[in-house]
Amino acid sequence: MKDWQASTPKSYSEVQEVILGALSPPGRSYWGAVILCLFGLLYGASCWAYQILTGMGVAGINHPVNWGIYLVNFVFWVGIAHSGTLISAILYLLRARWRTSIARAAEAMTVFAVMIAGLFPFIHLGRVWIFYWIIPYPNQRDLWPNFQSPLVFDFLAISTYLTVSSMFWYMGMLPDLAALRDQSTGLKRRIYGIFSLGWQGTHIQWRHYGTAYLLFAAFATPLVISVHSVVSWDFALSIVPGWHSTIFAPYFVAGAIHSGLAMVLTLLIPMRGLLGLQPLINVGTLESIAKTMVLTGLIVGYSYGVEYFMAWYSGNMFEWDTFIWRAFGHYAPQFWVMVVCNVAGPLLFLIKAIRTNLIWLFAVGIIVNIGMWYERFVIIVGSMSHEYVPHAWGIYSPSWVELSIMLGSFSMFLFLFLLFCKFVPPVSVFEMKEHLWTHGKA
Amino acid sequence: MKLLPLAGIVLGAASFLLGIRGEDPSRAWGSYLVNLVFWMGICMGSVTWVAIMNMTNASWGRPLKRLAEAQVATMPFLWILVALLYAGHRSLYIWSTHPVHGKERWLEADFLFGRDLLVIGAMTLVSYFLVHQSVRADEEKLLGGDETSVRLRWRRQILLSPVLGILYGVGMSVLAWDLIMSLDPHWVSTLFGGYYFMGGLYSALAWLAVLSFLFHRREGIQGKIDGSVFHDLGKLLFAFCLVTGDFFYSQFLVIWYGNIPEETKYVILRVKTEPWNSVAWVVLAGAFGIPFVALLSRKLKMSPPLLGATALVVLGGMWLERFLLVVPSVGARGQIPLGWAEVGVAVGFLSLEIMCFGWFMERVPWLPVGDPLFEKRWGSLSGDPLEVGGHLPGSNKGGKVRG
Amino acid sequence: MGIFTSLGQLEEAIPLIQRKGAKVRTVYSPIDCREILQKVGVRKTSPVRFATLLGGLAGLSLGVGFAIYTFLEWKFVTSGKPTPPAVPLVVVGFEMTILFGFLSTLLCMLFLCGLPRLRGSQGYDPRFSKDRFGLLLECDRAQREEIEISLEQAGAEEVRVLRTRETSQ
Repeated sequence: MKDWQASTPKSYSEVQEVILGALSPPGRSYWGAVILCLFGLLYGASCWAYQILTGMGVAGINHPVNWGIYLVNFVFWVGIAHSGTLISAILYLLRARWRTSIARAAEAMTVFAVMIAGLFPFIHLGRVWIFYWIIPYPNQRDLWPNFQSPLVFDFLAISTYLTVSSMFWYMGMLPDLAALRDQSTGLKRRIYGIFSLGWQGTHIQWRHYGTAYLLFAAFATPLVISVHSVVSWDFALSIVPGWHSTIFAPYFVAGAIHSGLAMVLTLLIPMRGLLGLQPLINVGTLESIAKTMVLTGLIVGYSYGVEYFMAWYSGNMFEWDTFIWRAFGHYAPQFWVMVVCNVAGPLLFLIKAIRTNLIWLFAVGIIVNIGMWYERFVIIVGSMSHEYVPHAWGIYSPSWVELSIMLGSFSMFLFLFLLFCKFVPPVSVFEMKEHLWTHGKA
Repeated sequence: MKLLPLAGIVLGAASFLLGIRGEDPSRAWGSYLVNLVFWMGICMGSVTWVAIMNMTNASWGRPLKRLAEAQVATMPFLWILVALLYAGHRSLYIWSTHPVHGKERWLEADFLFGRDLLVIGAMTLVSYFLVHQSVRADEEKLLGGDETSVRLRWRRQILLSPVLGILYGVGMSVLAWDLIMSLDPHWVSTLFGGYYFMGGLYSALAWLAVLSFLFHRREGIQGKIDGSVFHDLGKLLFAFCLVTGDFFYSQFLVIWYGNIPEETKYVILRVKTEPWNSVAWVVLAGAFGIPFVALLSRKLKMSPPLLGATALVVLGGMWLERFLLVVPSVGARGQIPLGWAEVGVAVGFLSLEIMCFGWFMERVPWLPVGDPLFEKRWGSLSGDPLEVGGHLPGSNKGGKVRG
Repeated sequence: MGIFTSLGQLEEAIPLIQRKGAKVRTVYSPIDCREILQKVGVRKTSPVRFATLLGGLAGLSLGVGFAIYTFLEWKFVTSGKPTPPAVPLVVVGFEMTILFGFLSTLLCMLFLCGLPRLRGSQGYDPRFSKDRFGLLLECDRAQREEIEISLEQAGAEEVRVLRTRETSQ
């Protein structure tokens, strides 16, 4: 770690060179990885096409579990998206210094994750060709969507989140795209020129941009809370035992941030190494992420505890039975993976040696990702397979089509992220320069 | 001046005792409980704010540290008051006279009060240690003490802060379930504990804003609580207004939507039926509506009197909110029990807090000079702790200096 | 036009040239330079905030209004809940407030910044997005020498003279 301290950039041009240097023409291994991901994506897409042509029966969903891993993946990806906005918007408002070097990549993660999450309701829909029925427009059927339904809330919330996140990410990049434009030639210069919208960095532009950016961050912040609360209400507004619980909104938001931070660790640790960004994304930043994960892990643990306590305290036999079954029934292995990975895993970060070690950080990141995926599985599938009436209980297992589409979604995410790393500045150039400015005049 | 809080306490005690000897003791116990849970939220929440600011390395709020820590002085009295609450458990809690099937052993007076006193005791002790380290560090620094000792005290504060944070979250949840939720033992809300402790943090922050307004011009603060600190305080208050409102709405929406009678009974009583629905609207406006709109304005946040006034509205709203949680479930009522007796008890609790606050502030330096985050931003101050400490009206100027 | 290597130097140069009678036209900077806005005579906060407020209110009324309209058009009554129901509309209103507030802020900001800008502006040097600060000012021909000297005194790395039709000959 000490070597990187010495080579911390000390001037604006050094900062720019380190970051934009990461965009140098990539080697074969990079293109190999991109093509691999592309294959995964195409495989997933073709499985989806197969499902559309053949019918939903190829997926494992059936009575009583009508919501299977498509919805698990939906919630998983929306969750991942939230911590990107937490880092880029909320930490900006809180003036947390450590956010600067990772905000751009985190925000990119958000945009891609929301895009993928938005696909899953379509995939789950069955009759995908009538998706437009949820859009409120005057139609021959004389029908409007039911604004009381949490699914319509979802539609509004996710589309708002996608719009706001992508615009926030793009606007944040304008000065950097201008920098790229100024140091490129030919076609590259044209393209970056178009995308930078002619940004010149005049004081008038900075004046409006600065105020607007603060306002963007102020808008993105309540979205972090509200979007995942809306997603949680897809479940909590039902009366399914194990779902109908008032704690779902904060519980899901904390869980989303927890899984998202884990994904940030999983992505950023290889990225900083492969792109040579170690002087800018230092271990202190990663340590701060680890410490935040201890907090979110504790909140998630608290929620597990409270749900169990209230299930007993309420005296509601259905609720209590569902929770016993979660721990000891058919899906018990998934349940215990969930508890150990989500709660015990991050507690390792209480030890300083672990939270400053890159390998451990990466490993715990993966562990928490797995745990959080299983948490959504246990909540969604676990509750639906064991509701009120015993003869309606049933077991669900995902089919190969569902698993392939899931693989496709992960490939798509990696594909987009790899492209991001090489074509767009992965760290915010002008914000890092501002760091130098405030830490001793450059 | 010093006698005023004492008079207030006597008034409160008298109102309360008159109430329990009257025809409806549960009404008096109800107002006792309301004030108790309100002030517990503020006091525990205040010291938890110190812990939170320590853990997040927040340097903006350092001048507010002592004002927030001062609430630790009231905690032992709150412990005593919860112990005294035991005497009224038959008037308040239906499960004491009619044990609830399935929960007999959990909702049983000795066990319940035992665990609650344990929880409050633990929070009080950890808060005391945290504040003790903080105050000692400042005193040592001012007397030109050993740097390593000062730094060690800071390390101890860093270690104690997360402990307090966890204790607060879990402890306040248990208190909420036991003291408030069990008033209607068939009603359950998984978010209730969270709602109570977030509301406590919100009220504590509003109380801190009021204290900052009252003390920011005093010599002891040396002008360190300036416009930018108020601005940040206002922004945080706004954020917590949204968070508490969100927690309220999460409970409300889920219960409204599911429409399950065991759950809706509690909410309908408070929001739809006479006479409580009007109180509910006042709470909505005072605790959430007015602060939300007011705190949007930058000018208001930076103006100490305006921020202080908004914070007072928040405190009033949150007091009424606790009132609305507790009182409808305490005995059958046709009228809102808000009379002179209730005012008296409320004044009593407020006076207790003021008295403890005053006692504490007279004995400590008012600026956290031994805190490295304070030092980093404002440099070091030195001198006689009590000169830096400032003086409260009516206290003797000499004072004691601990060696 | 004076080209500086640090914002501090540029900041110092401004009062110097203003005393000599020159006017600041534009400051170019690779980083956020709002601290110097006061010196240039421009307010730090931007009127974008009004667009935010208006957009937010528009979104709120649009969202809630539209939802209420659809309820009244086609009453979908579930388990005796009121139509239109106030409680779920909070979510609809909230999301629409954020969406419209955000979009109006965005559009207002782009408009005020003059983006997208098709042609380059006068005096722009590609180094301004990397590590140089530019101070473009306007003065009479007679004062040109004095201004140049002042700029160099303040630490300008380079001073360039640009001629436009607006400056007096």
